[in-house]
Amino acid sequence: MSLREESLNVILAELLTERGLKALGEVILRRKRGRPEPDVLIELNGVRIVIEGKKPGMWNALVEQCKKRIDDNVCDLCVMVEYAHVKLDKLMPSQLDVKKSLLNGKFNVGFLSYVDRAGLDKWLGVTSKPEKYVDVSFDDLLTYLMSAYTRVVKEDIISPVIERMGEVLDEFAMKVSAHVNVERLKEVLELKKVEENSG
Amino acid sequence: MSSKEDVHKLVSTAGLLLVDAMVFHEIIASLHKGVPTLSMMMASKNLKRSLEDAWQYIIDNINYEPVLEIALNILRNMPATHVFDRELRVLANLAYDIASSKVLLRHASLEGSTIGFFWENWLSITQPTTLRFPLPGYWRGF
Repeated sequence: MSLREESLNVILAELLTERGLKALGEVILRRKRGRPEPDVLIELNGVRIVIEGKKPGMWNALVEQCKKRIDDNVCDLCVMVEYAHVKLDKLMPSQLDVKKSLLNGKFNVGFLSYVDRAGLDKWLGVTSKPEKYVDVSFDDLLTYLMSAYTRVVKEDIISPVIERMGEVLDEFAMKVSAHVNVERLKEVLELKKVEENSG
Repeated sequence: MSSKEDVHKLVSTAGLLLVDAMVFHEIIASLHKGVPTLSMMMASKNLKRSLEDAWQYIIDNINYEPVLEIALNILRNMPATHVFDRELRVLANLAYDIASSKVLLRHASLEGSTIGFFWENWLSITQPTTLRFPLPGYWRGF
């Protein structure tokens, strides 16, 4: 018996929420309302996590889908799940049967966050690759997800950009100042009026 | 009279406004065929002139006057020297890197307020509160 990926994704999200994510803080589970939305969205302390699950052999499609989710600002962290070994023996499995199968199943999982998509390699010189773990159990998946969440919460993507901006603008000012007509630039920046009013 | 430090801050401020205008420009270029991308303009020999022409075109034919007019005025008041052209290219590269990251743009630009966001963060690093220049005109609204 094969179940639709959408159903597996929703039940997996429920399991992850019940079995661990609740321990990290407030969790809100949102199911799909419209077509362009993901099957399920978990909000963990305000961090939006999407679970994208597919049958084996669809890894590249999962990565592309997750990149799109992040770039479109649908979520902050995207979990890619390939249902490598999830067996459903019954012809008409109940939700409980599906939960049991997922708890005993094996998955290929990966994580992509907005930190990966910010292009920090340009600012830090460090290339980030989406993580991938093969043939992991449900408990391992939960552990990896919790550590991915912790990294997303801790990572500061703005400071390196601000730092580089500071350096570039400092250099720009040093090189260009000698050639600039200061009074004219003040006028352009509307600083003359401010000076007159304050002085 | 302006001290050397004041002039430095003034020119940095002008540089920051140019970078932000370039980030805006790159987003506008992705939406309007008639506007060349930053890469296309950086390939030209005279970047200053290319930016001036492009920003004037956007103001006349598309919009974004409040954002681009001050940057255009800054550019027009800058010397047409080899040094300035080289430094302008460094700013354009920075703007290109910011504009090429959708995640960084989330903090920003057409959707809200990169300028204000980066401005505040950059100021907090580079300038003590008491010596800050106010943001000119429209930018204060962010």
